[in-house]
Amino acid sequence: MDLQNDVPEIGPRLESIAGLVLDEARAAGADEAECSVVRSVQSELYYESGKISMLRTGWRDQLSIKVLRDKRKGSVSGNDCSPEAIRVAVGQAVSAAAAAERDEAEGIAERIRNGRFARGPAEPDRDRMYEQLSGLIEDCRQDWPLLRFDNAGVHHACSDRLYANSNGVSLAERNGAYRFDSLFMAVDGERTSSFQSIDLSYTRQDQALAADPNIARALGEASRQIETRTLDGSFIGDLIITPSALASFLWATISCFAGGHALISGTSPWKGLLGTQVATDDLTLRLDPRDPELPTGRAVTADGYVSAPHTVIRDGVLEAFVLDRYSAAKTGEKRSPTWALDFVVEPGRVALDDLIGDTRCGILLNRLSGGKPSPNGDINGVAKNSFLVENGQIGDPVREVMISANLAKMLQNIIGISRERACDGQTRLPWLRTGGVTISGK
Amino acid sequence: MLSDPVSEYIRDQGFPGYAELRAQRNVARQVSWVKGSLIANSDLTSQGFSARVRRGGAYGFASDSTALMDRQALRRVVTAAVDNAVFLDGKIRLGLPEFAAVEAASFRDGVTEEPAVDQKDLIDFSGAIDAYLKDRFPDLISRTVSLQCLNMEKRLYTSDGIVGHTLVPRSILYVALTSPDKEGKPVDLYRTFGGYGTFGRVFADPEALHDDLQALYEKLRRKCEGVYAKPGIQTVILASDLAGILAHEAVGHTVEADFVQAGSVGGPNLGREVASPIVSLIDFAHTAYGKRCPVPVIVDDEGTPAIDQPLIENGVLTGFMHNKESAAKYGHPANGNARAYDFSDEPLIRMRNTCILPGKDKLADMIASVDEGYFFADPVNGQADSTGEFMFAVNSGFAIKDGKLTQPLRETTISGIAFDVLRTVTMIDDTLTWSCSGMCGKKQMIPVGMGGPAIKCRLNVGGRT
Repeated sequence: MDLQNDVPEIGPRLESIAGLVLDEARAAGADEAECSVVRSVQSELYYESGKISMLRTGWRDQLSIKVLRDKRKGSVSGNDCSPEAIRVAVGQAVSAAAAAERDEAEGIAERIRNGRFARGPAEPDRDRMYEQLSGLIEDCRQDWPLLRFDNAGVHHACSDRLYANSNGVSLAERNGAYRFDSLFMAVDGERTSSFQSIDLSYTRQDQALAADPNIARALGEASRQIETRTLDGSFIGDLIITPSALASFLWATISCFAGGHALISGTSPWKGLLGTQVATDDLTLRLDPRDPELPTGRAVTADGYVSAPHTVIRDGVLEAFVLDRYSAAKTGEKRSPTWALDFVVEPGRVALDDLIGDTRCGILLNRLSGGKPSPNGDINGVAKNSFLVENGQIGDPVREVMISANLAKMLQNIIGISRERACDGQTRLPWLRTGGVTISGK
Repeated sequence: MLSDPVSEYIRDQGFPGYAELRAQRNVARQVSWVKGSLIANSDLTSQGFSARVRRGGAYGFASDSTALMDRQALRRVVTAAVDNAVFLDGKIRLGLPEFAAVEAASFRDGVTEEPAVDQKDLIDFSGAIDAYLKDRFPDLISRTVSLQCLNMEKRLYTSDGIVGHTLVPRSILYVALTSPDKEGKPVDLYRTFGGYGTFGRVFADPEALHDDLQALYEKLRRKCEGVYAKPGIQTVILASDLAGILAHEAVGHTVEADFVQAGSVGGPNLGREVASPIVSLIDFAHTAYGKRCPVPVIVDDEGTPAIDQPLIENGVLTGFMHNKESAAKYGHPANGNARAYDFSDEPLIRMRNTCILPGKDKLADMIASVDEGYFFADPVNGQADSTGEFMFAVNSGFAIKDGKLTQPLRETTISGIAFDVLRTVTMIDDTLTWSCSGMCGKKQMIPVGMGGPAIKCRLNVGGRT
């Protein structure tokens, strides 16, 4: 990620707004104050109902203000950055703080180093966006004629963000990136497959969308998912979790075990377990906003620090929690240099073919449609866009198959992690096989 | 009240052909406590102006958060929307005809001069709830109390002559409790209170909720003693909140016309029997059985007057939900289902207040009719699929044996193929209950109402062996 000391376009207007906020907060009697000022521009080319139907442009200001008085917090957020609106907003925040409870953990970022950062294309190329989307539609007609898009969109967003506070912190970044997302299914007469989604971020438009391996894999598999089978009864088996599904499992794991809410509420079973083995030794998980292949990574955290890579689990050992400044202060644990979920899992030791080839009975899981995990990590859900694996062979796609498991046990029961990984611009993840999962059919 | 620079713009500039011009402000107030710590105390306002223009079947859309305060920015939005429509029309060249003209009309609903609630009142109310929980139930591992008030105010002007000014307020209190089971592991349960209306009208006195909070705690303690359901196809009684989510997820999404066009299972089944003859299902616009629905819509964001849309009548699938474009394509009337969440969002086909209609049975008789099965309640969330397969996460329930409720249950997931499950419905309770805190995600989040009576059916239960 580029670190640029002077990105003049970001500076003047946002600096002026932030300065006004901090001046008003001081005048209103706040002990401490912080604000985040964002100006973003979005473009979207959207396909729906059988055609490229809409081109959109959106401009948005976003101002977030937090003030503290005697360790009591009040927050206000809005779109109006005019001086009068700022004065009113600060007043509302100060009033909210006056009514709040005192909390010793409250505070704002201390000044470490200020900086300016920029990454990715600032302006969209609308013609190239149209070529990419229309090209994908045409490629699908030829290569995957059974596919139907419920919707598909090529987006470009560029945001300028400035974080400033009364400790003198001033951190700004500009982020520009493209994104492709889509909901699609295969249809043959009256029969339809389960819908599938894809979400991909990138900065360069030089390749056709259909050439992206994530898109090609998803579209190719969807066409095979019209004829599905159910399973009889239930059994204990393996899950081979694909990269597209693994991100949601990791999110649930952080949320239940390693994140601020779980630790503050006291429900995390990992409290007190730093330095202990929570997974098999082939799992190393980090959050990496600086990974050059993850354009959604941010240089500045929402609470005003320069971000850095953060290893959560190393060789199966819990190395750190995922905590912002407040959660760290509240729990007495160490603040994380990032808490955005830019997941990177190190490659494993097993070839993907062998990971599947050694599976006696299980499910190759592309998506789990499930509810919120329980505080102890129990999860239940329906396996979607997924395939039965028997005696090392990927078999039929399945329907009405439910998965019941526990997230902590899944990590302890990891059988293997693939050497191969997939990158969608938001995460870089391998395939992961775990055992001891209840798989039930009709 | 939301300012109105749009009418001045229209007087000066007129409409650039077919256009929908919308000023909107969403005010979301939140106060949240976790184990007595005030972790959220916020007032979020999202306001701005958008324009959607149509040329030959291509839409150009633009929006700006500064446009309500800046006349130049407002003009720029309309110009950008026209530019986008022209650009896209130049590429796709569909040459579609204009929509049929509609009669000009004005709509006004929910707009009030009621003063905005003070954040202190929200903190005091929710803090009192938290303090009660702490004092009354000291054995809890954790408690979360979150008060969330959302006001959505819109001013709409369309080139057809539709003028709309609406405000839909919603005030929800979310209470989640966590208690240890006999192994010391955390078990949680939550409940929401409130619904349509401003904070002052929905929540008067924290003590009015004490009996319900006591009931929630007792239910949680029973759940801590609970067992996991057995996996497989079972006879179940779904409580009214689950029937509501069934109506929304299992049927509603598959009959949104955009999803139908993409190939959902709803399309080929129009006119066919998809449910037991005792099942009927409607997407209500704003009023059901003489009472206001949780999310009343009188005119949608394309300017179509909102009317009820029957979806299943006596077991037969009879309709889809439309926007103007899909209504024209299918030759059906548009019914006011095109809604946008934020000022920067375009209208999408969305449900409003979707509900299985009450039947003739009593819940006690329904439970008594089950030899072996389950009673499920408290959905956490749910998801639909183009195949009609649905999934709900269920947070509590009871086993039923010989017509009686027996062991309490831990959380589980239930699923099935929507129309297959609805064909197995044999009893429907005679009471309609709305779940008022629902949010639906489909490119944009949006408040929805889901309702139902309790129903008896057979479906797939995810459990533990």
